[in-house]
Amino acid sequence: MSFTRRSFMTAAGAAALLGARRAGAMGSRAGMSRAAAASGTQTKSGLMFGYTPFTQDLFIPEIATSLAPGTLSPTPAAIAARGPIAPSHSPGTHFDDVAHGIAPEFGLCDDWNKYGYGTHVQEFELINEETTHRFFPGGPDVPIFSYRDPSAGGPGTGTTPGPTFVLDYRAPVVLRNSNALTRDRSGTNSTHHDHETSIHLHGTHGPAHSDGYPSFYTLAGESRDYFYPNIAPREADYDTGLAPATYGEFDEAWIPTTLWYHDHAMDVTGFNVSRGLAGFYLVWSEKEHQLADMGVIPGVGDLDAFGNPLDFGLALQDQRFNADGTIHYDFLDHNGRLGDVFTVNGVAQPRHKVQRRKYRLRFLNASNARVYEIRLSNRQKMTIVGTDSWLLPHGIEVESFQLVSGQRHDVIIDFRDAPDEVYIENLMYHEDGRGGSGIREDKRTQLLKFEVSGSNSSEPRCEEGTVIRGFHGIDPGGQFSFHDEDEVLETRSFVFKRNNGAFTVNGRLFNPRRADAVPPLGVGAERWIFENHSGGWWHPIHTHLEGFQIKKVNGKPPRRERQFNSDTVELQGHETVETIMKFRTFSGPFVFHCHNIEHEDMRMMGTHDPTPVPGSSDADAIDGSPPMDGETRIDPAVSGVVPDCHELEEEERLYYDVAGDSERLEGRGVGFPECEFDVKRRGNRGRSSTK
Amino acid sequence: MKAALRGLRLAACLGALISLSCYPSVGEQEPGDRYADVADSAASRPDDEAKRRGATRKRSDQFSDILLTTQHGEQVRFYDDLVKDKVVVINLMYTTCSKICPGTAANLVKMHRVFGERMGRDISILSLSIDPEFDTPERLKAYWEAFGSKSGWLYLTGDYDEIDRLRHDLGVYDLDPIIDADKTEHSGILTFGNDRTNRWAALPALMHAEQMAESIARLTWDDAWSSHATPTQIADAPEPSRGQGVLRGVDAEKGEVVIEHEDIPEFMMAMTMSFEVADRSMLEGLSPGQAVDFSVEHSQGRYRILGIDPRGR
Repeated sequence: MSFTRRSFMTAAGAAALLGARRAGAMGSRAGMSRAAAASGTQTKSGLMFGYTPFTQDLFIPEIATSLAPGTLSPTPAAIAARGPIAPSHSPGTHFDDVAHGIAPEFGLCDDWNKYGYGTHVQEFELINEETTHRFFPGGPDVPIFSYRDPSAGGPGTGTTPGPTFVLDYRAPVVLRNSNALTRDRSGTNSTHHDHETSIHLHGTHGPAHSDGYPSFYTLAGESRDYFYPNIAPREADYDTGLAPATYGEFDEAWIPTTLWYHDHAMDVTGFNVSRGLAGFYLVWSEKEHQLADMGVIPGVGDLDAFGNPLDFGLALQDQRFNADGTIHYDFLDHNGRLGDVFTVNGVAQPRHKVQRRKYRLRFLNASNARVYEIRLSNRQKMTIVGTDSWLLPHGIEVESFQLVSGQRHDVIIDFRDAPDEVYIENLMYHEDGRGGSGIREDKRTQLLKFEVSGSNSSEPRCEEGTVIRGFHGIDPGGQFSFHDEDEVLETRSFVFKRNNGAFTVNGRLFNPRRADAVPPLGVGAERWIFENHSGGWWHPIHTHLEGFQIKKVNGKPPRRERQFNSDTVELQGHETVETIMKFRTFSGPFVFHCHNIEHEDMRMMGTHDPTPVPGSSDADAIDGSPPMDGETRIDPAVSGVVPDCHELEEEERLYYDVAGDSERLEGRGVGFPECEFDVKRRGNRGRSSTK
Repeated sequence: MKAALRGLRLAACLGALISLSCYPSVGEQEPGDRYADVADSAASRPDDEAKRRGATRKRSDQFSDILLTTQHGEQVRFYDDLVKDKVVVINLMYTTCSKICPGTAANLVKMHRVFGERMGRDISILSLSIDPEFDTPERLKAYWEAFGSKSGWLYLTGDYDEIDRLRHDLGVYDLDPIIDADKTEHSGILTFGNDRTNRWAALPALMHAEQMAESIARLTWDDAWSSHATPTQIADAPEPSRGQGVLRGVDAEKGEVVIEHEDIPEFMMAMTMSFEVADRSMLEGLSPGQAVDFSVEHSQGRYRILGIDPRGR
């Protein structure tokens, strides 16, 4: 392979970095703080866009367009065939189903989905691109990043939040993500540089290569296919003679419901998410449909008299703006980004018409750092039916609930006795981005106004104690169950600290090529203890692959609604949270991290790499085996570097010598980007940016 | 030996560092009202002056353009001369800082090897003293020389208050005034960016050096980088550095030695400090007061003695 496409320009025209100019050349602002000159926009955001709150309608994202298998061109298999996963590395032909390889686990199971062997039943497409967006009524159209559904509209029609996925449990899908955030698309990328992205489906139980590991990028100008099996974790079955966790029952306590997808690219997640890369992803099981049939919750596609859905997401995000209306982001704010404008689904303080009946609202804290304590202005109780990705066993009524960054609450609000106007309020006050400063009635903020009308409905109520999972007498399945503490084989503590300005987990800095925990895959359970030793800083801790069940917060039970399944838990200053977790179905690497995204971008992360235990066909064999912490069975991150491509030799040498790792990685089908990756060609000039 | 090394943990080093332990009181941030309900702001108006200025400004607009002196005695403006339209890696240090600063400098030397010929041309390192009254250009020059007189690497000193303000401009501060007053708390991160593309970020200074280089290149890459085709030099596996000194303590229990050592070229200035040893059996027959030759490596934030012998043996 030649290097001809490279530009061998002389250095003459390029700026010499140092030494060219020296003292004496300075003039203009000698001695003057440049900060002083710039201070105007730093403090006035939100106050300068005079607008009347609650005059703009709530935006409800469209449903993502489902495509029949085989629609994507080139087909995922074709990408895989020309990609780095050589046939010799593919244990079976159906592994070519998705680009970049599929976790080998799939080859051992013929019942991944209810539709057929080794396939996916739907395809989806998203394009990451810049578009303009109006946060305020009458306000400026400002650039954002959006996930656009190309079947729904052409360039510039992307939204924030992106389209809402509505999918079936155990119906695997392929999502093609095409990253058009390239620097050379003048007029459509006002930042003038490339942005790598990495979609994380927050709350999913899926293979590592499709999990949005921070360095498994979709590079600017490239596409990447994600495979989402939409399953619950599979219990290990030791009688099959196969390695643990390759077969077994689905653990229906963990059937996913309310997920969200957002960017997770290394070092830049905060910027990308604050600019709009987020959306809802909802999974429906038969049992949840039954719940809707019984009238306990609204069903898919149910509309009210205004033609609005009865079930929709509310993404809460605080925003901050520059004087020209563009989104403000401080790359060097490491406390946590706070905005002074409260948006719901990308609209500053919107309004929404509802009837006097039940609605299912999927609250999502899509803010980088802000913590919310949510209450209704008329103080009526709300019935929480799900926390994070999963339904609760029964409804829990609360007057208010807390959401830290990344968390979801699946809430039934019954407006049948409500006054004509009801506001969603936030009571949590922030002095700065490090964490909440407590409930402050005097500082409460109204986020969204419901304009309530009509007469009271007579539908069944969903209230405290209403059975949500395992409706006895109708269907014995789908019951909620707790992990059995007797199954705990290992207790691990993770201490989150700040050392010399850098965040650490157990004293270590994040290294994508090191596993910080290697739980045996599909065997037993583990007790994971999260400890916050970083003074008053709050750290919402999120685990990928599996959620956890919170047992204790500072030795006491957690809030009532948080005693079941969670994938994100707030860790306030000095707090210790004890959880029980299992690690099933998929080998790593996955990350666990602080979901204050500025902290995450400063690498407040660790890697867990659930790994099959060789030769064990029985749980007893695991007991007494040496602890595997820190033993990186697989070096996880190959940051877009593909050593097989001759043209990339130079860049490969620049970054890593990964020859030894790559073979193992390929064998496991983890996380390889396309072969065309070229760090110097990041903009991929001359190539079409998508497909 | 390798197996023995594997058991050692970065935690051993970082765990010894100062931890945060008190809830911060409000520092210098603006009044809390700033984040309060904007519903009351219906009457406010666009900032016409700012609007007139047009497009979103750069992050570097907030950097104080202060006058600094390099280790070579030259006077420079921080922004106009060092940052404007350039790619820079900035760290805060001081020459008498014994733990984190030499580790950072050694790590930056590794990063320097990765960037090779690009250093000083496509990217440069700015090491800013936060003890500028003590750190004269001469002292900084000695420090620079101790770490190999690397190209494209400026050590900078100036007025204390101005540098302190610049430190805040760079986002390297703690809202807790007690922690903020501790210089060591500001020496653990690198701030870097490309002023041409206005892309900035910060990373732990002691992280894996090659990964650090990867992140810096990835985030700051633009056409100006691409225009230089010179292959970047990849480091050979770095040889352990060799030092000489006098043994001041031996702790067989912890597997540590304290050595008062001379300058270790490109590695560490002369000082007395404790090191862990790769293998405790090395400690047999050693006792305080002996003159020793030793080899030492710095890896992921830890110093480790790979070999140690009484001199002349």
